[in-house]
Amino acid sequence: MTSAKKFVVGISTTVLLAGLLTGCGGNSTASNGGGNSKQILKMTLLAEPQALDTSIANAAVSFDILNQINEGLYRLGKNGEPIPALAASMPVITDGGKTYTIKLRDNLKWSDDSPLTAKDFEYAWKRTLDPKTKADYAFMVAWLKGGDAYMNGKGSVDQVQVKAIDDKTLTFTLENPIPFMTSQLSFPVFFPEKQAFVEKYGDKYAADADKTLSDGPFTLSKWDHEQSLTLVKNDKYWDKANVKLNEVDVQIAADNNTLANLYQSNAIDVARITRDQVDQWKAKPDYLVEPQLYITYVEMNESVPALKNDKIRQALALSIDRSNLVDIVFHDGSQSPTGFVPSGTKDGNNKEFRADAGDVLPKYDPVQAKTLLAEGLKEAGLTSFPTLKFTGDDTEDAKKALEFIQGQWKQNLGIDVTVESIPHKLRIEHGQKHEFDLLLFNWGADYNDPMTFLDCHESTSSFNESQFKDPEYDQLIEKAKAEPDGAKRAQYLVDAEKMLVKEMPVAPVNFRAYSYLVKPNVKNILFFPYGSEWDLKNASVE
Amino acid sequence: MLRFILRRFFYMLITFWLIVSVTFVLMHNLPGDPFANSEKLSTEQRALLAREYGLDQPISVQYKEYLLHIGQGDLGVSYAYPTRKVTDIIEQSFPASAELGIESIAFSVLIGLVLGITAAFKHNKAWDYTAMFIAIVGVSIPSFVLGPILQYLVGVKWGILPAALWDGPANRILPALTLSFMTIAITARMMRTSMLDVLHADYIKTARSKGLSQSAIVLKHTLRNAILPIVTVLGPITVNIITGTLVVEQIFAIPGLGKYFVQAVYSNDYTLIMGLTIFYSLLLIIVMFLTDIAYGLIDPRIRLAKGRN
Repeated sequence: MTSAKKFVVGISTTVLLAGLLTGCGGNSTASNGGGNSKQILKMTLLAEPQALDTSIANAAVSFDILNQINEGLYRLGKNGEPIPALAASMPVITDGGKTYTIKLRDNLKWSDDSPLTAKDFEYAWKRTLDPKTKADYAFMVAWLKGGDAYMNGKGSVDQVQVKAIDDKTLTFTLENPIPFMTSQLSFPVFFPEKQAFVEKYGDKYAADADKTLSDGPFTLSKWDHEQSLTLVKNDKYWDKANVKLNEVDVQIAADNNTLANLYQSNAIDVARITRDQVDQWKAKPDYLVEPQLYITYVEMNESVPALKNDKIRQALALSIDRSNLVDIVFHDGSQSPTGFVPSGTKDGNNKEFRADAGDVLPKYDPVQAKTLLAEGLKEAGLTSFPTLKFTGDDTEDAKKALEFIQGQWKQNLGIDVTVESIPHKLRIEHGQKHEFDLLLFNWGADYNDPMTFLDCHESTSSFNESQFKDPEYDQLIEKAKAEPDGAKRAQYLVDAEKMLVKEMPVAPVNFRAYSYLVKPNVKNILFFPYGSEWDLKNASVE
Repeated sequence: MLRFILRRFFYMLITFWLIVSVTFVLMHNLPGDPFANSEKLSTEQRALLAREYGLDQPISVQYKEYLLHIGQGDLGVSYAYPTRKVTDIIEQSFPASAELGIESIAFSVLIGLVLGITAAFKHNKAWDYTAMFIAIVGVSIPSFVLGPILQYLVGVKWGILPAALWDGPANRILPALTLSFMTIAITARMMRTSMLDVLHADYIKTARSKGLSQSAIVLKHTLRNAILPIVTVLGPITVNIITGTLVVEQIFAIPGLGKYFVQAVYSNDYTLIMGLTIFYSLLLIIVMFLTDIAYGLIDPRIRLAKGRN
């Protein structure tokens, strides 16, 4: 008996001791890592980035890294304004806003000490457009004259209007004037690439740390796939005097709870949190809300007879208590929508679009909604509202939103919809094939301009899932696209949004925001509302 | 014996081909396309991409191409990570999963056996009830509940161990414990039952009457006989743990292979789904084979029976 007891006790003690010993070891390294004077920042990414190839990167996690290790002609400032980066100054724009000529800074270098020239831009943009590159974001470079044809395999590379006049001058011509082009040049798809380097690695280009080449504030020194990335200060960077961090350790962690726990145990300096953690942190100095250029709306398929009527669609939109929905369902700093273009979107004329357009979305009004529904049904020759299907993603947010809206319609209009939660990919396929009645849809900005939220409602757009068709609306959008005058263009877009309010092809329910925790001793991280989430060029740890 | 192995190998090939084919068919019936950013792709871009990847070909042609590539050991390139070969992804991510798995199995066996043996020797006493209570808790609390609890208590509140991430040895303890809790419980219960059986066997009485010490009885006579059933389930448990790391990898931010599997299915990453299916089924087959051998080594009766055949 006693020896059995000894056996048991012995083993348990060994296990416990081993645990404690390794535990202590781990703890001491953790506190060493927090050394602030060393200017080491500890960040996280929600997923493993795809190849850090500026041509083919298509996800925020990739842009987050690219924005630190690479740089384009301009970087975005605190208020989203373009600031000359590799460019020596703002572009010279001629030809009614279509032709840009940009001078580069002197003595620009890649991190391998080779010179960076205007040719690196010409090469990169043409490579992005090449159909063989399979670049999702090529459509932005296709704004260049001749770009669209080449991207779609119809034209030739020589017709693409971008040219390095000499080592330090780049010129390009756009198909249409684009008022936000200069700030968009800060997007990774417009960054330069060194041809010899890209071709040296071929398919493996930018797939590992040693296969990346930097021209930004940091270089990528280590990339343990699925685990972590280490960035170190780039001493070949033209503005290295203003880069304060020596190192950025980026860990990959997807779970929101885990992120909050890591933050609380000081293993990371910045964490994005969601609904469940917000209340706990709201009052603390660490908490930060960053509105995104991102909208959630209910698409109403106009090929369904009951949804063809304007008044019925308005009734459905008006009967959703959006501020309640944002608070109950999202609860992360998201805002109740006031239009079809999220707050923070610039108007292409140096102003905020929402300031131009005002608060256009009609208020939550269940009484008015009920009247509209009755009138609409009469106009449509229907005796009652049919039971329609309401489809959305099977994510937690989407499921909650679906149920909330279903309840609102039941309560305020007395109508029934069946809720259907399906995998994201299937939801996208249903949407694009117009196989749905009502669909909960998300759309994030590709560039900071109302156009990214408005031209998807054009009748010819492949993203017009609700099949809204109004020639007048199409005309306004096309006019805005061709208009070189910023003020006039902005007005066309304001008018276009007003038409959407009247006809309500989709019902906006949320302007998304992200909630962050940032350690109070970390300064000057820039958070962006679209594309890359953050910029660490001027960040520091005090 | 050689004929036995050859026949097994042949069956293995057939099983393997069946798994590959069924997965291929199921996968191509998944709705949606495999492109990473499909929300933002226009119809034209989508068509162009499908052509680039050969997805516009008839399914029979795609199937033939695929089998040919597998034959050459080429699992293709992931759709979601276009610069990474599926074999690279497995090579880079599997070690973490395997390490976590091995550590969990060690925990399961060690703690499970101790609990089970204690319970059997103290049958129907406080020790027994305590051990079995732990076992029931282990079976009932799923890892996605236990993980966050351990993470918060041990990692954040007490600050004894790292809350997550995969940096050093200390980072291994919480995830391995979380992952092994369920199997600790299973092992403990099985060990207890089988110990009780053996303890009542005649040869134990003989050993006792010979005047052998308790530890000699436990180590030489009881343990070796009672552990047989555990070895049998160890195979399936191993596979279970290795493939079941998904939740734990997610909670503790471990760079393992588990989470790729669900991610790949979710994003229709055809090549990655196929590659992982092949990899995991091979793993399963091999582990089963090894279990058979281990079983024979421990129990001489099985060795003899096979020998006579």
